[in-house]
Amino acid sequence: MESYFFHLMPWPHLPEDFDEKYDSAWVTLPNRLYDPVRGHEIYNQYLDELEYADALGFDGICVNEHHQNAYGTMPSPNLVAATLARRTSRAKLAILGNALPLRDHPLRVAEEVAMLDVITGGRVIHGIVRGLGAEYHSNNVNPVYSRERFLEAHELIVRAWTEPGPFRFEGKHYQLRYVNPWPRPLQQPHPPIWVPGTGSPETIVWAAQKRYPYLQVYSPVKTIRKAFDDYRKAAEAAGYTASPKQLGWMTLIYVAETDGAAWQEAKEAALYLFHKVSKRPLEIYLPPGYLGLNPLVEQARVDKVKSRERSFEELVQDGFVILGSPATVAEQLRAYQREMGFGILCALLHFGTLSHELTLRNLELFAKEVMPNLRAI
Amino acid sequence: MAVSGVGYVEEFLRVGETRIQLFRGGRGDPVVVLHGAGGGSWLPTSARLAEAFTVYAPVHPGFGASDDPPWLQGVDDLVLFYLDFLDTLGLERVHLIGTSLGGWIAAEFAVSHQHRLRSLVLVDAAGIHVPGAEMADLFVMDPTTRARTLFHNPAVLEQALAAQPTPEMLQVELRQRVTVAKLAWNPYFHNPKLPRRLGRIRVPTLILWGRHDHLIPSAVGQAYEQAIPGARLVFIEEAGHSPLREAPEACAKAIIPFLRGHV
Repeated sequence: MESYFFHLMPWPHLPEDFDEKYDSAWVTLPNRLYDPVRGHEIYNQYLDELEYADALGFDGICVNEHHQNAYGTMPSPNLVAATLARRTSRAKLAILGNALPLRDHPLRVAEEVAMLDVITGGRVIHGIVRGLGAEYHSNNVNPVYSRERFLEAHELIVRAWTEPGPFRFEGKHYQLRYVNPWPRPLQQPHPPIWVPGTGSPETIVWAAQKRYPYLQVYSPVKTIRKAFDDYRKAAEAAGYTASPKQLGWMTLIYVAETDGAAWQEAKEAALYLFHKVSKRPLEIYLPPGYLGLNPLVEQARVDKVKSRERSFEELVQDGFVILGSPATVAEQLRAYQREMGFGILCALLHFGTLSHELTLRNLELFAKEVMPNLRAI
Repeated sequence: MAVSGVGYVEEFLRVGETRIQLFRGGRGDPVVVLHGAGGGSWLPTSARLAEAFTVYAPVHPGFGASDDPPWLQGVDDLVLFYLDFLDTLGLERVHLIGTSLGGWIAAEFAVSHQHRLRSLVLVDAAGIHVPGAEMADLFVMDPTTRARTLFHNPAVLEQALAAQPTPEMLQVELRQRVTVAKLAWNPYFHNPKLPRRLGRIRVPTLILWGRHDHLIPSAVGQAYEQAIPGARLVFIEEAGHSPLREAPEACAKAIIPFLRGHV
């Protein structure tokens, strides 16, 4: 199994009265609550953590894209990847991912990711996502066309990287007279494409058909099991057997000296992630058309929103959080791996308000005492 | 709410390849009523108008039991659809009434096809953006907030708050919300080109605005009044965003003499 360190770069300084005063940490949360002076400190601390993971020998480090919220302060994942490109030397840079439908000019994504790939000597993983529902409010992009734009932008980018340019592209949502990006990517035919998702059946089937690794974002274990099973079924239907390298689990992990210490140290920081920065009204979370026209699918997502109501104990029990001593965490991951057959682990080793010191120790304990136990499986 | 007025028939009409739901009632010169984002029905005001006119209240494609055609992507598509609608029914010139989203469609229809109109009535119409008078964001409102934003009439509000939608109704609502997003997500409920074009309108125009409209500020009604030559703005005192539903008597009192004056 390969181990990646995934960072969300949350804003850790929400005010004490956040719960009473604000109904959302997304879209409408006043940006006066963002303090750029503290932001300077926070960004650099987070970047240090990502760079440390490279030094510790993680297979890769992951950045992602979110807009106008306190949950993840990386509106441009490519910018963050660029700051890491020359400060890291071994780890893959996994951009998980660029939210393609939000772009009016997806060719820019092809250009930027190709730049990063060339600069890093081919260390880039090109993750592609639709973006969460809330991003469609923040970017004023019509959620009804989210999937169409995702598919069309994906096609444009892959063709831009693989077909000799210049050529013309006339799509429903994107039209370009000259597709001819300089530079071209170093990895051939193009950087690996990964598809992180929150469980949309269409996305899982599509990723399996394309043979792109699918990464399930933290969810209850039963959801993850189903997502991986659906992927394997779709792969069989497409005429091949999916390998574990095509299945990834993105989950929150905390390692401490002992189980007791882990429970104590992780609780507040984890609840900040699930209860505070994940707070958003249903209408912001699910704009019309984002999930198509099936109300049953909507209802399933409504249930997911309720993860905000889970206690810490329930979050651990349902598999949103894996924590304990190195031995406990390694044993749990091995057990989950045996059961679910995934080959990529994207570990959220910083979360919520977790301090820099505890994050570094979490990274270290994971890299030195857990990761070696996972390599061979 | 006791409202006088005549009955109606509910039927399906095929316009080209698109089948839509249509409410029709009354006798006399033709009046077409275009509904808002919440969906189409036989409104109390339609019942009152049907005492003096033939009222056609079509349900837009993508709403209610009407087809959801793939070509429907913007208000301009609906303008052309309603041109075909008039042709299908053999209606040469009609009085056109539009409320909210329907008001936007009616205004767009008037700037390009006014030769098919006897008169135009805009009721709390969307369609133009007035700086400083922002329309509230319908897309982020939960159902309770939405009802409180839309309705001022306590009986109508209470009915909206008490609604217990069936799964079938939820399915229709979801489809309608998707249609509204297609039409009005970006730009949000307006066409930046429309304000300048309104100056082309030469048909008699009446603008009604609910005094307590918390969705679209009355400054938008005033902007319509200024932009359309000869238009007159009348406030409906005891209504919010939906005067045709909330205050049918006051609406009928304003609309019927206006239509009679322009036959």
